[in-house]
Amino acid sequence: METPNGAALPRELVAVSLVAGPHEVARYAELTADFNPIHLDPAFAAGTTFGRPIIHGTLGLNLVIEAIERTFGGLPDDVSVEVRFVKPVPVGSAIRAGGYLRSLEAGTYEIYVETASGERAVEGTCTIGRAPEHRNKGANAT
Amino acid sequence: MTDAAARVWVFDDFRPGEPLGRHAIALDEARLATWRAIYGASAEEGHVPSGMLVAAMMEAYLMAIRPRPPGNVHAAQTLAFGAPAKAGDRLDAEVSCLWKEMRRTRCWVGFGVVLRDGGRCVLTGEISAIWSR
Repeated sequence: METPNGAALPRELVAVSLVAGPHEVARYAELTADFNPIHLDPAFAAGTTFGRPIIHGTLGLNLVIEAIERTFGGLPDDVSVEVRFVKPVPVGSAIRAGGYLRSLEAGTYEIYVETASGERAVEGTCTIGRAPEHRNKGANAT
Repeated sequence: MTDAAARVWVFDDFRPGEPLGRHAIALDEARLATWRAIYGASAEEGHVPSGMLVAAMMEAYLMAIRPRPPGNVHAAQTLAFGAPAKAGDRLDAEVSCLWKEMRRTRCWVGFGVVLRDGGRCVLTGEISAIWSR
């Protein structure tokens, strides 16, 4: 199977996993300068609806990006991603990212991040080889 | 204009189409080492994992809009990857408000981040956030 650009499209993305423990979350906070106590402070998180610290949403999303890169040996040209963060993931959770080919013609994968119990935390699509129009062209774009 | 150093950004402060700030990010060894501590080593020497661009996007977004009220929700995200970046590159991020709307009782705001490496666009992202105040 191939994209319109001729690149091979496997039926599934290589699955990638990690355990998002306090160490990983603290490092991700450093990486993004996102020190929101909801991610880092158990005492603070206990007073929220989550009850305990949750991981950064893009910490999981980046795992999907890793899955795409491992599948194709790097990021193909014209990759676009569209996801929703559907469920918070507690710090300490094992998460797994992957994807399934939804449309060969469109070059679109259904992508996800799920917990060990199979619950989806992030879900959406990745399109390869044909970047859809995005409204974000920068504030100063004409 | 809001004095970000004195007052928390609230929903009414955002104006679609307006720039919110610029931020520079160096894809240096320290940043790469932090990435590896989370995700493991990259297969290629000098390769910048594309997820690092996503992390850079988030840093730029957070730096541009502060102080922030507690309780915001990062609800959705779009990404469009462009030219590849390499270790040692210095990225310039431009953050803007793209749109805002009320959906039932919730305040939704769309933020745009464009990451450039010189004249090349490496990533554009749209962050959909539920603003808490």
